Amino acid sequence: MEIILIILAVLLGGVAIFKILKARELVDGLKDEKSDPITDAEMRTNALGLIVYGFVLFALLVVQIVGWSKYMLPSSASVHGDDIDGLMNITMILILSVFFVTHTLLFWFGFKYYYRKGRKGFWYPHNNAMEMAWTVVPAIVLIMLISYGMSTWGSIMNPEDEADMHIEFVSEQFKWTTRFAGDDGKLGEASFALYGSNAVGVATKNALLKRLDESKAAIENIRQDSIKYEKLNEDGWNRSKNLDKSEESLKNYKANVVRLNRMLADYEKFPAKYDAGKDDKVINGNSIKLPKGKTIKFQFRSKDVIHSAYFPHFRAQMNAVPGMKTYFTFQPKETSEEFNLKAAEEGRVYLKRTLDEEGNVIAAVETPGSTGYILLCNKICGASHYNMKVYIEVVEEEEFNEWIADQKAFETL
Amino acid sequence: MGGGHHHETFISKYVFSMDHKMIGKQFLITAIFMAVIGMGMSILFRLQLAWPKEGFAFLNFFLGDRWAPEGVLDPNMYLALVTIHGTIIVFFVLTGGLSGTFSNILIPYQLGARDMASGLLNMISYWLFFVSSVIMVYSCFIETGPASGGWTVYPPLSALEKAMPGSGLGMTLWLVSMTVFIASSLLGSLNYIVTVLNLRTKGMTMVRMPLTIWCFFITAILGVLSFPVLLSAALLLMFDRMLGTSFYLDSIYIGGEPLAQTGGSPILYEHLFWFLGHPEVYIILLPALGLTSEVISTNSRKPIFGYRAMILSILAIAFLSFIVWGHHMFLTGMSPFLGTVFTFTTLLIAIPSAVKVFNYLATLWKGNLRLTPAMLFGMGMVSLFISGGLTGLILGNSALDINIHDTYFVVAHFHIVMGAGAIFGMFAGVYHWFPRMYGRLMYSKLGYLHFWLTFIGVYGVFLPMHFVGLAGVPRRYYTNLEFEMFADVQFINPIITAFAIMAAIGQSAFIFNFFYSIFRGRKSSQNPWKSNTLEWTAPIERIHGNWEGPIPTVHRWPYDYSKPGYEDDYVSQIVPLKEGEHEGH
Repeated sequence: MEIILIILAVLLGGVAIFKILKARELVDGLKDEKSDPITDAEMRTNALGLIVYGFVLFALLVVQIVGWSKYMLPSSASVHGDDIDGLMNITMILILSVFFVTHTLLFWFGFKYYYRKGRKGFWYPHNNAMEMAWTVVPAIVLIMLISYGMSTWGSIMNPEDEADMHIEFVSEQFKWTTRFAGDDGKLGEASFALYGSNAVGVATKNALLKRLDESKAAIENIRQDSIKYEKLNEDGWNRSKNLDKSEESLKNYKANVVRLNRMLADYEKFPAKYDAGKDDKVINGNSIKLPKGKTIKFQFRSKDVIHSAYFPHFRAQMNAVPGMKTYFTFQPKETSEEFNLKAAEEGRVYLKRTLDEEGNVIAAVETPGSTGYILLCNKICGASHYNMKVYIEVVEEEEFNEWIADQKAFETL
Repeated sequence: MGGGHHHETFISKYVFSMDHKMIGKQFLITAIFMAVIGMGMSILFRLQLAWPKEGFAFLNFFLGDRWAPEGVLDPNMYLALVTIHGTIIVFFVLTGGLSGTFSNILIPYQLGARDMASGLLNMISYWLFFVSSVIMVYSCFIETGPASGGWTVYPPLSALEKAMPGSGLGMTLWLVSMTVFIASSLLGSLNYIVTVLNLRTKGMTMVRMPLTIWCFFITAILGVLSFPVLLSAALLLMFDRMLGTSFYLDSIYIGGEPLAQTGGSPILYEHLFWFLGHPEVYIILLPALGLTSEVISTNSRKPIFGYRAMILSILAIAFLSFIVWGHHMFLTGMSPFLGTVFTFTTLLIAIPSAVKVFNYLATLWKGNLRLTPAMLFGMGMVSLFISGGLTGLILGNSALDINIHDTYFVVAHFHIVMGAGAIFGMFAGVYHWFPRMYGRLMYSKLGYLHFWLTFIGVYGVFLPMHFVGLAGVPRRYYTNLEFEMFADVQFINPIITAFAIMAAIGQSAFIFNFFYSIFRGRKSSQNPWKSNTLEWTAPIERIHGNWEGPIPTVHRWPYDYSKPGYEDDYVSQIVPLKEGEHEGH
């Protein structure tokens, strides 16, 4: 029944449109080809439309800025972030003023000068003085913005202070693993040749030897498997697919054995950088603590594809690229608690959620403050890209020292 | 090349045509088709973003159980849709579609040439474009899904089949399609350059060319210099995928195995990609600016303000566009000093851009604005160029980029300036030159409806999106609910999606209007907009060779609108200067 009604409605609608168009065509047929393609009334209506649109656009922008600022990020939780926030505010004020001025002109001109019969445009092809002015003024403003930006960038990327601490994040599909430098304050050598049970591939001598054995065993297993595949009475497609896969794995592990042997040889020459890994602390799980007021040099590596470590509250971000080490240094200046209080003072809010047994949100109450520091992935990396997080808690130094002392060193894991 | 019309069969007229006008229309209609697909995809993933846990029965109907079990979009399919949406809109609609359509139609017409320098190359260019479009669309229908690594397809994600399903056959097809597309683009661009340099009619000096032609000309040069670099990037990626080389791979552990391929760098790919990728932005934007310049000047009944300054700013933008690609890579771990250099060059682009904006505003000032649908889209383009350009000042500044890189702020920025901005330029072009293409007018009332729905939709979608980005929400997230802080701004997403759906439905007004008017639109006069340029001196009937008799001779620049001393408010380029009259610029 419903379907018949819908079909009927569509048909009637179609007929109506057809009739309207037919009438329109008849009217058009009466018009002279030379007559104006659009009418004066149309232009008047649209001129009015432009000015109304301008007002609504401005109003909405203001409403959004005022109404939604409570959901935006609170001011920076890191020392260098204050410079970024300052530059951001200046740039924002600048672009918003230019936006309002140019758009006022655009919509106003559209309204004021719409077509009237018998009038002519004002013949005004150019004015060198004016053109010079609106080249030079933006140039001066931009040079100031650029210099401010460049000096900020320079001081962030080349920090003067020696780092107090070294921490490494290793990314993979789809999680982060954290490694803290041990008591020696150095991160030991690590390599992708050792990934596996060794989450971030710390290359101590023992780990190298263990991985060498594993790789050799893997080669043996693959060989056994290929013999099995060859004997199997399978159809040709499956068989050759399996054999191809075995061959590739064999190549991978053979290369790995060569790599590990080379590292072992290197160990004999430079044992210190490998031994530095013995006391490193690898944290399993996705929450860590950081001390307040310490300059921390973060190192990033990736196991598989490009990821990006993004700490929105600290105004810090750096890609994690396979085959490369990348770095970002910053100093957290507020504990999580202090940050929460500051966020509340700045008028920021978050939604405090109550969950039922199945994890569904049953209530969300707007609460002053912030949900706390996080690290997330900000470079497309695969299906679960949207869910790669580390909870970060910044605490006073003593509390941090207690926490880190509880974490096990690599060689005793 | 003869002047007269000659006999054409159906095939030579409509299919394998070598006539620039027909090829332009072929590009346009293919681009409209691709745009519908690209836009449709955006609606599908916008639904997911707005209502992450809802199932939509029609999604299951379209995508099946594998990609939308119980109507809930699969995360891999989400990424696939995002990727193909970007690829289609950037390359197939705004590069192939925009340049292909308007360079083809307008270059010979506005220069007073009978056709392109090489009709054959032109035809091959279109058919390669067609083939690459077919391959790209076809890649959506294979079992493992299309390429899903984002439209930039960074390796290793795109290089390793084990990294995601879309990096299998889908990615291979993506690379094949792009290779064919690049060939098409290069053939087209070479043809445009040669035509502009060699086939200008008598009197058509370089500084008498309409700004449209200047923009198409510079765009073609950008394409010829930058697309080959993308081709090399794509070929090396193919080698890494198929031949076991490692141009882009190093120290990778995937599928439980350390790969034997080492010694390359994914950053190399990023450099090669963005060496095209940034000029690409201007390959998209310049034609739109060119069309907008012409439409605004004609419909303001005023000369374009600062014609020479406009040309200089186009040249400056084009030059600078080649030395700013690093601003896409501030956070890849490249040398901080390099970041400084790229910040400097990037923000310099704002100067010629500001000149263009002020010149547009000065053109509108004291004009006699004929607010046709084309004019409204032209003014809309100026608005979007301003809004999107301004946020570029934030993103181009490396220090600020740290905290908004890859967030929705970026998405909002580039959709406004090069997505919607270029689309608006394209619409302005279609409404304005439709009578030239088909000899009929599009219905103005539907045109106005289309403009307002689109203009409201664009700001409705992208203005709130800036705030999502400022709250720190990263792009390409399947859902924002996994992070509490992002769930707090989730309420903005349904607003954005609602506007997106409204704007998408609004496009049906255009599509209907376009196809209906081809056959039933009101007949147009030869020069419906009272324009000065040469295409309006050609007869309204389509003939191969454009002008019945000899080609026109040019006596003046194209912007003599409302010139004192003339009764009409326009003076065609073919009208000789009066005695004692100065050419007005």
